[in-house]
Amino acid sequence: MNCDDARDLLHAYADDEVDVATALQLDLHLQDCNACAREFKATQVIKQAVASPALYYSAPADLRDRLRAAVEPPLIIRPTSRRYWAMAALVLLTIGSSLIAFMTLRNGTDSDAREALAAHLRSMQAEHLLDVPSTDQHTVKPWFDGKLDFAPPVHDLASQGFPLIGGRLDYLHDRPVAALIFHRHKHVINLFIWPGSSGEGETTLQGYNIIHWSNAGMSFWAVSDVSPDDLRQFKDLYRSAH
Amino acid sequence: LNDLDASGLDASHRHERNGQLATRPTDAVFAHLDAAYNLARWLTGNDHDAADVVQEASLRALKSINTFRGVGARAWLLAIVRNACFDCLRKTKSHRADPMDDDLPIAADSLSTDPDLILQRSENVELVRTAIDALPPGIREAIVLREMEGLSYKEIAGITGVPIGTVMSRLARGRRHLQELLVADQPSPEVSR
Repeated sequence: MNCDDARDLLHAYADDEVDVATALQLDLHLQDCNACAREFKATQVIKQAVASPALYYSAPADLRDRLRAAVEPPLIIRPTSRRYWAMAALVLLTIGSSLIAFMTLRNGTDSDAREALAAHLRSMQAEHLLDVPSTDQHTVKPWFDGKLDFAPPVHDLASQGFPLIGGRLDYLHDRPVAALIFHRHKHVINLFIWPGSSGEGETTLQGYNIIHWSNAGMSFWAVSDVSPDDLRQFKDLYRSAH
Repeated sequence: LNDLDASGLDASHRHERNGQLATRPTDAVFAHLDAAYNLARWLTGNDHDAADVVQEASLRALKSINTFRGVGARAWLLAIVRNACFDCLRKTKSHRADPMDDDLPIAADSLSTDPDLILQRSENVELVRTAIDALPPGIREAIVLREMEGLSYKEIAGITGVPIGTVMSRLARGRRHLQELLVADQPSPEVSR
Protein backbone atom coordinates (compact mmCIF):
# COMPACT_ATOMS: atom_id res chain seq x y z
CA MET A 1 0.00 0.00 0.00
CA ASN A 2 1.29 3.45 -0.89
CA CYS A 3 0.76 6.77 0.90
CA ASP A 4 -2.01 7.98 -1.43
CA ASP A 5 -4.06 4.83 -0.84
CA ALA A 6 -3.36 5.00 2.88
CA ARG A 7 -4.46 8.63 3.21
CA ASP A 8 -7.73 7.84 1.44
CA LEU A 9 -8.47 5.06 3.89
CA LEU A 10 -7.08 6.51 7.15
CA HIS A 11 -10.36 8.03 8.26
CA ALA A 12 -12.42 4.95 7.53
CA TYR A 13 -9.76 2.96 9.38
CA ALA A 14 -9.97 5.29 12.38
CA ASP A 15 -13.75 4.78 12.27
CA ASP A 16 -13.40 1.02 12.17
CA GLU A 17 -15.15 0.95 8.80
CA VAL A 18 -12.63 -1.00 6.69
CA ASP A 19 -12.53 -4.76 6.18
CA VAL A 20 -9.97 -6.92 7.96
CA ALA A 21 -7.67 -7.33 4.95
CA THR A 22 -7.48 -3.56 4.38
CA ALA A 23 -6.94 -2.97 8.08
CA LEU A 24 -3.97 -5.35 8.04
CA GLN A 25 -2.41 -3.63 5.03
CA LEU A 26 -2.90 -0.22 6.64
CA ASP A 27 -1.36 -1.45 9.87
CA LEU A 28 1.72 -2.53 7.98
CA HIS A 29 1.94 0.78 6.12
CA LEU A 30 1.58 2.83 9.30
CA GLN A 31 4.44 0.90 10.88
CA ASP A 32 6.69 1.85 7.96
CA CYS A 33 5.57 5.38 7.12
CA ASN A 34 6.10 8.16 9.62
CA ALA A 35 4.10 10.80 7.75
CA CYS A 36 1.00 8.60 7.48
CA ALA A 37 1.39 7.47 11.09
CA ARG A 38 1.44 11.11 12.19
CA GLU A 39 -1.65 11.90 10.14
CA PHE A 40 -3.40 8.90 11.63
CA LYS A 41 -2.52 10.07 15.13
CA ALA A 42 -3.75 13.57 14.31
CA THR A 43 -7.04 12.09 13.07
CA GLN A 44 -7.49 10.22 16.32
CA VAL A 45 -6.80 13.38 18.32
CA ILE A 46 -9.42 15.31 16.34
CA LYS A 47 -11.95 12.51 16.74
CA GLN A 48 -11.39 12.51 20.47
CA ALA A 49 -11.62 16.30 20.70
CA VAL A 50 -14.97 16.41 18.88
CA ALA A 51 -16.33 13.55 21.01
CA SER A 52 -15.63 15.51 24.21
CA PRO A 53 -18.66 15.43 26.55
CA ALA A 54 -18.18 19.20 26.98
CA LEU A 55 -19.37 19.66 23.39
CA TYR A 56 -22.49 17.53 23.75
CA TYR A 57 -25.78 19.39 24.16
CA SER A 58 -28.09 17.28 26.32
CA ALA A 59 -31.81 17.91 26.10
CA PRO A 60 -32.85 20.60 28.62
CA ALA A 61 -35.05 19.36 31.47
CA ASP A 62 -37.92 21.67 30.53
CA LEU A 63 -38.02 20.29 26.98
CA ARG A 64 -38.24 16.78 28.41
CA ASP A 65 -41.01 17.88 30.80
CA ARG A 66 -42.98 19.70 28.10
CA LEU A 67 -42.80 16.69 25.83
CA ARG A 68 -43.80 14.28 28.55
CA ALA A 69 -46.78 16.44 29.44
CA ALA A 70 -47.78 16.49 25.77
CA VAL A 71 -47.63 12.74 25.23
CA GLU A 72 -48.40 11.30 28.63
CA PRO A 73 -51.09 12.96 30.72
CA PRO A 74 -50.15 12.19 34.33
CA LEU A 75 -50.51 8.52 35.23
CA ILE A 76 -53.08 7.74 32.58
CA ILE A 77 -51.51 5.79 29.78
CA ARG A 78 -53.19 6.69 26.55
CA PRO A 79 -52.78 5.35 23.08
CA THR A 80 -51.29 7.92 20.77
CA SER A 81 -53.47 7.44 17.75
CA ARG A 82 -56.50 5.73 16.36
CA ARG A 83 -54.30 3.38 14.41
CA TYR A 84 -52.63 2.40 17.67
CA TRP A 85 -56.04 1.67 19.19
CA ALA A 86 -57.01 -0.47 16.25
CA MET A 87 -53.79 -2.46 16.54
CA ALA A 88 -54.21 -2.84 20.28
CA ALA A 89 -57.79 -4.00 19.84
CA LEU A 90 -56.73 -6.57 17.28
CA VAL A 91 -53.96 -7.91 19.50
CA LEU A 92 -56.35 -7.99 22.43
CA LEU A 93 -58.98 -9.87 20.46
CA THR A 94 -56.48 -12.43 19.23
CA ILE A 95 -54.87 -13.00 22.61
CA GLY A 96 -58.18 -12.82 24.44
CA SER A 97 -60.02 -15.29 22.24
CA SER A 98 -57.21 -17.82 22.19
CA LEU A 99 -56.78 -17.59 25.95
CA ILE A 100 -60.49 -17.94 26.56
CA ALA A 101 -60.65 -20.97 24.27
CA PHE A 102 -57.75 -22.47 26.17
CA MET A 103 -59.17 -21.58 29.55
CA THR A 104 -62.50 -23.23 28.99
CA LEU A 105 -60.63 -26.53 28.92
CA ARG A 106 -59.27 -25.90 32.38
CA ASN A 107 -60.76 -25.56 35.77
CA GLY A 108 -59.97 -24.77 39.39
CA THR A 109 -56.81 -22.95 40.45
CA ASP A 110 -55.20 -23.36 37.07
CA SER A 111 -58.04 -21.56 35.40
CA ASP A 112 -57.84 -18.81 38.03
CA ALA A 113 -54.18 -18.35 37.16
CA ARG A 114 -54.97 -18.21 33.46
CA GLU A 115 -57.81 -15.76 33.99
CA ALA A 116 -55.55 -13.57 36.08
CA LEU A 117 -52.82 -13.71 33.43
CA ALA A 118 -55.31 -12.95 30.66
CA ALA A 119 -56.53 -9.93 32.62
CA HIS A 120 -52.95 -8.80 33.22
CA LEU A 121 -52.12 -9.08 29.51
CA ARG A 122 -55.35 -7.31 28.61
CA SER A 123 -54.46 -4.45 30.88
CA MET A 124 -51.03 -4.15 29.26
CA GLN A 125 -52.07 -4.69 25.65
CA ALA A 126 -55.05 -2.41 25.49
CA GLU A 127 -53.19 0.18 27.53
CA HIS A 128 -56.22 0.34 29.75
CA LEU A 129 -54.29 -0.08 32.93
CA LEU A 130 -55.98 2.37 35.24
CA ASP A 131 -59.52 3.50 35.92
CA VAL A 132 -58.48 5.46 38.97
CA PRO A 133 -54.92 6.72 38.74
CA SER A 134 -53.81 7.53 42.24
CA THR A 135 -50.96 6.71 44.54
CA ASP A 136 -53.22 7.33 47.53
CA GLN A 137 -54.85 4.23 49.00
CA HIS A 138 -57.53 6.47 50.54
CA THR A 139 -58.54 7.56 47.05
CA VAL A 140 -58.36 4.16 45.43
CA LYS A 141 -60.29 2.22 48.07
CA PRO A 142 -63.45 4.41 48.09
CA TRP A 143 -63.43 4.44 44.29
CA PHE A 144 -64.48 0.78 44.36
CA ASP A 145 -67.54 1.60 46.50
CA GLY A 146 -70.69 0.85 44.57
CA LYS A 147 -68.76 -0.88 41.80
CA LEU A 148 -68.11 -4.05 43.76
CA ASP A 149 -70.14 -6.00 46.30
CA PHE A 150 -67.08 -6.28 48.52
CA ALA A 151 -64.45 -3.92 49.91
CA PRO A 152 -60.95 -4.87 48.75
CA PRO A 153 -58.11 -4.09 51.16
CA VAL A 154 -55.94 -1.41 49.51
CA HIS A 155 -52.40 -0.73 50.71
CA ASP A 156 -49.67 1.41 49.23
CA LEU A 157 -46.22 -0.19 49.49
CA ALA A 158 -44.24 2.74 48.06
CA SER A 159 -41.86 2.88 51.02
CA GLN A 160 -41.03 -0.78 50.46
CA GLY A 161 -40.38 -0.34 46.75
CA PHE A 162 -43.80 -1.26 45.37
CA PRO A 163 -45.64 2.03 44.82
CA LEU A 164 -49.39 1.85 44.23
CA ILE A 165 -50.22 3.66 41.01
CA GLY A 166 -53.96 3.11 40.80
CA GLY A 167 -56.93 0.80 40.51
CA ARG A 168 -59.14 -0.68 37.85
CA LEU A 169 -62.38 -2.61 37.68
CA ASP A 170 -61.83 -5.91 35.92
CA TYR A 171 -63.81 -9.07 35.21
CA LEU A 172 -62.59 -12.56 36.03
CA HIS A 173 -64.83 -15.60 35.75
CA ASP A 174 -67.63 -13.28 34.70
CA ARG A 175 -67.64 -11.40 37.94
CA PRO A 176 -66.31 -7.95 38.77
CA VAL A 177 -63.05 -7.98 40.70
CA ALA A 178 -60.75 -5.29 42.05
CA ALA A 179 -57.46 -4.81 40.21
CA LEU A 180 -54.75 -2.82 41.96
CA ILE A 181 -51.74 -1.74 39.99
CA PHE A 182 -48.28 -1.45 41.49
CA HIS A 183 -44.93 -0.59 40.02
CA ARG A 184 -41.73 -2.45 40.68
CA HIS A 185 -38.97 -0.43 39.05
CA LYS A 186 -40.42 -0.09 35.56
CA HIS A 187 -42.52 -3.23 35.72
CA VAL A 188 -46.22 -3.48 36.35
CA ILE A 189 -47.81 -5.75 38.96
CA ASN A 190 -51.54 -6.39 38.73
CA LEU A 191 -53.10 -7.53 42.00
CA PHE A 192 -56.57 -9.01 41.57
CA ILE A 193 -58.79 -9.32 44.62
CA TRP A 194 -62.14 -11.04 44.99
CA PRO A 195 -64.02 -12.72 47.83
CA GLY A 196 -63.31 -16.38 48.41
CA SER A 197 -60.46 -18.64 49.20
CA SER A 198 -58.20 -20.37 46.74
CA GLY A 199 -55.37 -21.41 49.04
CA GLU A 200 -51.81 -20.49 48.30
CA GLY A 201 -49.41 -21.15 45.48
CA GLU A 202 -47.33 -19.83 42.70
CA THR A 203 -46.88 -20.65 39.06
CA THR A 204 -45.29 -19.39 35.88
CA LEU A 205 -47.30 -19.05 32.69
CA GLN A 206 -45.90 -17.75 29.39
CA GLY A 207 -43.00 -16.15 31.22
CA TYR A 208 -45.17 -14.33 33.73
CA ASN A 209 -45.04 -15.08 37.42
CA ILE A 210 -48.31 -15.57 39.23
CA ILE A 211 -48.63 -15.89 42.95
CA HIS A 212 -51.80 -16.25 44.96
CA TRP A 213 -52.88 -16.35 48.56
CA SER A 214 -55.96 -15.95 50.71
CA ASN A 215 -56.52 -13.70 53.64
CA ALA A 216 -59.57 -12.69 55.67
CA GLY A 217 -62.05 -14.20 53.21
CA MET A 218 -60.40 -12.67 50.14
CA SER A 219 -58.49 -14.29 47.35
CA PHE A 220 -55.40 -12.40 46.09
CA TRP A 221 -53.72 -12.98 42.72
CA ALA A 222 -50.58 -11.06 41.78
CA VAL A 223 -49.37 -11.22 38.16
CA SER A 224 -46.22 -9.64 36.79
CA ASP A 225 -43.05 -10.07 34.78
CA VAL A 226 -40.93 -9.18 37.84
CA SER A 227 -38.79 -11.97 39.32
CA PRO A 228 -40.41 -14.64 41.51
CA ASP A 229 -38.40 -13.28 44.47
CA ASP A 230 -39.74 -9.77 43.99
CA LEU A 231 -43.27 -11.09 43.66
CA ARG A 232 -42.90 -13.19 46.84
CA GLN A 233 -41.63 -10.15 48.68
CA PHE A 234 -44.61 -8.22 47.39
CA LYS A 235 -46.95 -10.93 48.67
CA ASP A 236 -45.37 -10.96 52.14
CA LEU A 237 -45.49 -7.16 52.37
CA TYR A 238 -49.08 -6.96 51.19
CA ARG A 239 -50.18 -9.68 53.58
CA SER A 240 -48.72 -7.96 56.60
CA ALA A 241 -49.73 -4.43 55.56
CA HIS A 242 -52.35 -2.67 57.60
CA LEU B 1 -38.54 12.62 4.86
CA ASN B 2 -35.79 10.27 3.84
CA ASP B 3 -36.77 6.82 2.88
CA LEU B 4 -36.42 4.92 6.12
CA ASP B 5 -36.16 1.71 4.16
CA ALA B 6 -32.81 2.90 2.84
CA SER B 7 -30.24 0.17 3.24
CA GLY B 8 -28.38 2.43 5.61
CA LEU B 9 -30.76 1.62 8.41
CA ASP B 10 -30.86 -2.11 7.89
CA ALA B 11 -27.61 -2.84 9.67
CA SER B 12 -28.79 -1.14 12.80
CA HIS B 13 -32.08 -2.99 12.59
CA ARG B 14 -30.32 -6.32 12.52
CA HIS B 15 -28.00 -5.28 15.28
CA GLU B 16 -30.73 -4.07 17.57
CA ARG B 17 -32.92 -7.03 16.81
CA ASN B 18 -30.18 -9.28 18.11
CA GLY B 19 -29.18 -7.05 20.95
CA GLN B 20 -32.31 -5.64 22.49
CA LEU B 21 -36.06 -5.78 22.55
CA ALA B 22 -38.11 -3.54 20.37
CA THR B 23 -39.31 -0.42 22.14
CA ARG B 24 -42.49 1.61 21.94
CA PRO B 25 -42.35 4.89 20.00
CA THR B 26 -42.81 7.01 23.13
CA ASP B 27 -40.04 5.19 24.95
CA ALA B 28 -37.80 5.53 21.91
CA VAL B 29 -38.33 9.27 21.74
CA PHE B 30 -37.45 9.78 25.39
CA ALA B 31 -34.54 7.35 25.26
CA HIS B 32 -32.98 9.26 22.36
CA LEU B 33 -34.03 12.78 23.26
CA ASP B 34 -30.47 13.83 24.11
CA ALA B 35 -29.24 12.58 20.74
CA ALA B 36 -32.10 14.43 19.02
CA TYR B 37 -31.40 17.66 20.87
CA ASN B 38 -27.65 17.50 20.35
CA LEU B 39 -28.09 17.07 16.60
CA ALA B 40 -30.69 19.84 16.42
CA ARG B 41 -28.54 22.18 18.49
CA TRP B 42 -25.54 21.69 16.20
CA LEU B 43 -27.64 22.08 13.06
CA THR B 44 -29.69 25.12 14.09
CA GLY B 45 -26.93 26.78 16.08
CA ASN B 46 -29.09 27.99 18.94
CA ASP B 47 -30.97 26.62 21.96
CA HIS B 48 -34.33 28.12 21.16
CA ASP B 49 -34.75 26.71 17.65
CA ALA B 50 -33.25 23.38 18.72
CA ALA B 51 -35.82 22.91 21.51
CA ASP B 52 -38.72 23.97 19.26
CA VAL B 53 -37.67 21.71 16.42
CA VAL B 54 -37.12 18.70 18.68
CA GLN B 55 -40.46 19.11 20.41
CA GLU B 56 -42.37 19.53 17.18
CA ALA B 57 -40.52 16.74 15.38
CA SER B 58 -40.93 14.33 18.30
CA LEU B 59 -44.67 14.87 18.44
CA ARG B 60 -44.90 14.52 14.69
CA ALA B 61 -42.82 11.35 14.90
CA LEU B 62 -45.21 9.87 17.45
CA LYS B 63 -48.18 10.61 15.23
CA SER B 64 -46.62 8.88 12.26
CA ILE B 65 -45.81 5.64 14.04
CA ASN B 66 -46.35 3.76 10.79
CA THR B 67 -42.74 4.67 9.99
CA PHE B 68 -41.63 3.20 13.32
CA ARG B 69 -40.57 -0.40 13.66
CA GLY B 70 -39.45 -0.52 17.23
CA VAL B 71 -35.89 -1.14 16.16
CA GLY B 72 -33.36 1.27 14.73
CA ALA B 73 -35.16 3.76 16.94
CA ARG B 74 -32.37 6.29 17.29
CA ALA B 75 -31.77 6.51 13.54
CA TRP B 76 -35.53 6.79 12.99
CA LEU B 77 -35.84 9.73 15.38
CA LEU B 78 -32.64 11.43 14.20
CA ALA B 79 -33.76 11.28 10.55
CA ILE B 80 -37.04 13.01 11.44
CA VAL B 81 -35.35 15.62 13.63
CA ARG B 82 -32.64 16.28 11.07
CA ASN B 83 -35.17 16.94 8.31
CA ALA B 84 -37.20 19.18 10.61
CA CYS B 85 -34.05 21.18 11.36
CA PHE B 86 -33.35 21.90 7.70
CA ASP B 87 -37.03 22.78 7.13
CA CYS B 88 -36.81 25.27 9.98
CA LEU B 89 -33.52 26.72 8.72
CA ARG B 90 -34.91 27.11 5.20
CA LYS B 91 -37.89 29.03 6.55
CA THR B 92 -35.62 31.55 8.23
CA LYS B 93 -33.39 31.66 5.13
CA SER B 94 -30.44 30.75 7.30
CA HIS B 95 -27.01 30.33 5.74
CA ARG B 96 -26.92 26.95 7.50
CA ALA B 97 -29.97 25.70 5.58
CA ASP B 98 -28.42 23.65 2.78
CA PRO B 99 -27.72 20.05 3.81
CA MET B 100 -25.90 19.42 0.54
CA ASP B 101 -23.40 22.18 1.27
CA ASP B 102 -20.11 20.42 1.92
CA ASP B 103 -17.70 22.80 0.22
CA LEU B 104 -14.38 23.25 1.93
CA PRO B 105 -11.19 24.83 0.73
CA ILE B 106 -8.70 22.18 -0.29
CA ALA B 107 -6.34 21.58 2.58
CA ALA B 108 -2.91 23.02 2.12
CA ASP B 109 -0.14 20.51 1.65
CA SER B 110 1.75 22.28 4.37
CA LEU B 111 -1.02 21.39 6.84
CA SER B 112 0.49 20.66 10.18
CA THR B 113 -0.22 17.14 11.28
CA ASP B 114 1.69 17.46 14.52
CA PRO B 115 -0.53 15.41 16.84
CA ASP B 116 0.92 17.07 19.93
CA LEU B 117 0.13 20.58 18.72
CA ILE B 118 -3.41 19.53 17.70
CA LEU B 119 -3.90 17.88 21.06
CA GLN B 120 -2.75 20.99 22.87
CA ARG B 121 -5.07 23.25 20.86
CA SER B 122 -8.01 20.86 21.18
CA GLU B 123 -7.91 21.22 24.94
CA ASN B 124 -9.51 24.61 24.36
CA VAL B 125 -13.14 23.44 24.14
CA GLU B 126 -14.44 26.78 22.87
CA LEU B 127 -11.94 26.74 20.03
CA VAL B 128 -13.14 23.27 19.00
CA ARG B 129 -16.77 24.36 19.34
CA THR B 130 -16.24 27.37 17.08
CA ALA B 131 -14.39 25.25 14.55
CA ILE B 132 -17.17 22.65 14.33
CA ASP B 133 -19.75 25.40 14.12
CA ALA B 134 -17.94 26.91 11.14
CA LEU B 135 -18.16 23.69 9.10
CA PRO B 136 -20.61 23.59 6.18
CA PRO B 137 -23.93 21.95 7.23
CA GLY B 138 -23.43 18.72 5.25
CA ILE B 139 -20.09 18.12 6.86
CA ARG B 140 -21.11 19.28 10.32
CA GLU B 141 -23.98 16.80 10.51
CA ALA B 142 -21.77 13.90 9.43
CA ILE B 143 -19.19 14.82 12.08
CA VAL B 144 -21.82 15.15 14.82
CA LEU B 145 -23.52 11.85 13.93
CA ARG B 146 -20.20 10.02 13.75
CA GLU B 147 -18.17 11.43 16.64
CA MET B 148 -20.90 12.33 19.09
CA GLU B 149 -23.40 9.56 18.38
CA GLY B 150 -21.00 6.90 17.12
CA LEU B 151 -23.28 5.98 14.22
CA SER B 152 -21.95 3.79 11.40
CA TYR B 153 -21.34 5.15 7.90
CA LYS B 154 -24.39 3.20 6.76
CA GLU B 155 -26.62 4.73 9.39
CA ILE B 156 -25.35 8.23 8.63
CA ALA B 157 -25.94 7.63 4.92
CA GLY B 158 -29.50 6.50 5.72
CA ILE B 159 -30.23 9.53 7.87
CA THR B 160 -28.67 12.17 5.64
CA GLY B 161 -29.72 10.65 2.32
CA VAL B 162 -26.30 10.54 0.68
CA PRO B 163 -24.17 7.57 -0.47
CA ILE B 164 -21.76 5.97 1.99
CA GLY B 165 -18.81 7.20 -0.08
CA THR B 166 -19.99 10.76 0.42
CA VAL B 167 -20.21 10.20 4.18
CA MET B 168 -16.64 8.89 4.16
CA SER B 169 -15.32 11.83 2.17
CA ARG B 170 -17.21 14.39 4.24
CA LEU B 171 -15.76 12.99 7.45
CA ALA B 172 -12.22 12.94 6.07
CA ARG B 173 -12.41 16.46 4.69
CA GLY B 174 -14.20 17.75 7.77
CA ARG B 175 -11.56 16.42 10.13
CA ARG B 176 -8.70 17.77 8.03
CA HIS B 177 -10.38 21.15 8.03
CA LEU B 178 -10.90 21.08 11.81
CA GLN B 179 -7.24 20.20 12.15
CA GLU B 180 -6.38 23.19 10.00
CA LEU B 181 -8.63 25.55 11.96
CA LEU B 182 -7.13 24.42 15.23
CA VAL B 183 -3.51 24.90 14.26
CA ALA B 184 -3.95 28.02 12.09
CA ASP B 185 -3.44 31.54 13.38
CA GLN B 186 -3.74 30.58 16.99
CA PRO B 187 -1.10 31.91 19.29
CA SER B 188 0.17 28.92 21.17
CA PRO B 189 0.27 29.34 24.97
CA GLU B 190 4.08 29.64 24.88
CA VAL B 191 3.98 32.53 22.41
CA SER B 192 1.20 34.46 24.10
CA ARG B 193 2.85 34.31 27.50
